[in-house]
Amino acid sequence: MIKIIRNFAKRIFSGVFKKKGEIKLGFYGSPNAGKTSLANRISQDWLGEDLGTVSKMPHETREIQIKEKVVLERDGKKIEFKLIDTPGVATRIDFEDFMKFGLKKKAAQDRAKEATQGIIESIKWLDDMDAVIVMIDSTVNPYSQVNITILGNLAARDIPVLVVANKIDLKKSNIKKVRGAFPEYEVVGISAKGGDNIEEFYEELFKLVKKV
Amino acid sequence: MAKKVIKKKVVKKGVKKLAVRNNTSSKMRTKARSSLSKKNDLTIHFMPYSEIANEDAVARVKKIMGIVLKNKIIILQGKLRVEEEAKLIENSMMLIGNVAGFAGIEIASLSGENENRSLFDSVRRNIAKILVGEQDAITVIGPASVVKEITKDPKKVELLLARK
Ligand SMILES: Nc1nc2c(ncn2[C@@H]2O[C@H](COP(=O)(O)OP(=O)(O)OP(=O)(O)O)[C@@H](O)[C@H]2O)c(=O)[nH]1
Ligand SMILES: [Mg+2]
Repeated sequence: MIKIIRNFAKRIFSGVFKKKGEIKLGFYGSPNAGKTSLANRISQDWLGEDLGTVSKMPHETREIQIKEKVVLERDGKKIEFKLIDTPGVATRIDFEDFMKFGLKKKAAQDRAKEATQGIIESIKWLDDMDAVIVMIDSTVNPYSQVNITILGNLAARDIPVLVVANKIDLKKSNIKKVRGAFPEYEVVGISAKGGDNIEEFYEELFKLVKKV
Repeated sequence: MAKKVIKKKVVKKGVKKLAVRNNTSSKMRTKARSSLSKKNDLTIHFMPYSEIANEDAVARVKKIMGIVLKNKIIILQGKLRVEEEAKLIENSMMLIGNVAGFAGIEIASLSGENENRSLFDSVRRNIAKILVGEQDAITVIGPASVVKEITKDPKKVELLLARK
């Protein structure tokens, strides 16, 4: 009840005081979920340029990456976004895992160090978001503590969330399981890489923005 | 109400130690202060909620990390708050690279409402039943290296618990 009133008040005040300018849209999730792939796709679709680098080696994004003034248009409505791609959050980092991808020990240790700092950054930035896309790799178990902690912290801050179940192009993908894990959230299944279902994603994104 | 059940089952309040050691002498253990103790030294620390109930977030996280760094697995009766979960992750990240052998934590909050199957899956029900009864929620937190060992060989924990 209090939450409803608070949300209501928030909406009224933001309507009055904040000209609904730029929306700070965060991309959160586990390493390798496809956050940068989706951020790049949006940035490419509307700006024609990439935002960050994508890799099959986890913890590719180790610093916050920002793309400003990304204007999306839908049904005659224009919304300006600031896309904020964050380093994948994990509870553990073992540099030896990077060596399996062919990195030398030193390089692997450096990557691990940067990755730990990246995660601290990601968590700090939670406070600054207007809305967040929580990216979940739909080919792996969605009941991970990282997903639970991220969603819990966003809920505690009253930040609107859209859950994206990514990699639906893969055989192992299971959107149902993602929906089952987080029944209280809107879940849209896409392939950030191949572009499947991106239209529906944009539709959900515009709905999400209404909650800001 | 649930609390009473737990007390009975746990017998003694406070720390419950179930340790197997592989010839790690206590001297060696104190020597290795800023690094984790031997992998085979598996200890479970049962933490009744009362142990942290009156602490603030910072003190809770400090307490938990202190135990995890001794290479113990914590079974906490109840749940951490979301901001404490986040702090725990931040803290772990700060320690990786600074504490030899420490690669972070595994944490799983298990309750009736969520079916967290990401880890401990084959052992958690048993642990939960033995240690906390049919409690609403428990949180398992351990050093990642140790949890890796367990998931490779879940019988280890079951054996331990069976012997108590
Ligand atoms: N098959 C498939 N692969 C994908 C999809 N989206 C991303 N990937 C792949 O998954 C890997 C990780 O993608 P990223 O976009 O770098 O993931 P991230 O979430 O930014 O990862 P971090 O930066 O490490 O946190 C890359 O190899 C991508 O090509 C998808 O929809 N389908
Ligand atoms: Mg990335």
